[in-house]
Amino acid sequence: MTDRYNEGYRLARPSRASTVAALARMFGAQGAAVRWRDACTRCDVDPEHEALPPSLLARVAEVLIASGGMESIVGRSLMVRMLTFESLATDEQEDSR
Amino acid sequence: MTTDRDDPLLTPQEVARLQEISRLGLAELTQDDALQAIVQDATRELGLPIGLVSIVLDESQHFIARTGLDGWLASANGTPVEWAFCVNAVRTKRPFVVEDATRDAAVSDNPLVEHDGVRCYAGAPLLTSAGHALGTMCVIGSEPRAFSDQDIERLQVFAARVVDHLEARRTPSAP
Repeated sequence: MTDRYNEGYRLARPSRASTVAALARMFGAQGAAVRWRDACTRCDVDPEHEALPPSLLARVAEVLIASGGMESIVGRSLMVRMLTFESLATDEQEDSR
Repeated sequence: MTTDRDDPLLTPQEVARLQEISRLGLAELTQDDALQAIVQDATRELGLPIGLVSIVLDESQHFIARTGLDGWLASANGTPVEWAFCVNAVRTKRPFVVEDATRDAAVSDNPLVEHDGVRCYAGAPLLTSAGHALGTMCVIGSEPRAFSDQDIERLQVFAARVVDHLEARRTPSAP
């Protein structure tokens, strides 16, 4: 497994790009850009930061979930996918010891 | 729901389904004692170790009640939507049953089967009064197992109890 892709489970690590794409499927490109910027601003994350570490992406997910509405759906999906990726990575590290 | 994450926009039907999920506050919901009791009743009655109330979102399934999970599934409290057996019941609005996952072409290459030992599954859709399928009430086992018509009918009764509770908790109480 690379740090961005779990080959056994065929799962990519969530990213800024994948999150904005999910928002775009829900709200269109412009709506996604507005909501991404707003969520980042509310949790003091730079919306232009391309390679967000998981800890900062998790902050954005929490803000989206707390927003309610359709944003909460995107936020919860992001959180589930992040937790899945990180938990599998932890399991693999422990198995390799 | 769409499992094609390359679609530029969601379909109107899927948007309406997700809007119902958001109106019911289900993406924010992580703990509910009444749902937990229903899940435990279902696993006890059907004799399987894992029971879930799963809400199918845009890119994940999110467990709002669960029993019998451990490991990464417990940590994530859901899975990516592309691994969700429940999608089938949501799409058709009918129960979805897998008696032997390793022999079922629909799911045999699913990572949950390949890596996590899922062998049987039965899910009844959560159908709201507006006709949307939110997710499923499902039971899962680590051995192949046949499900009778009565098993599926009971699962549908549990699913109806879940929906009744979800719709009631969002109804403003009378003054």
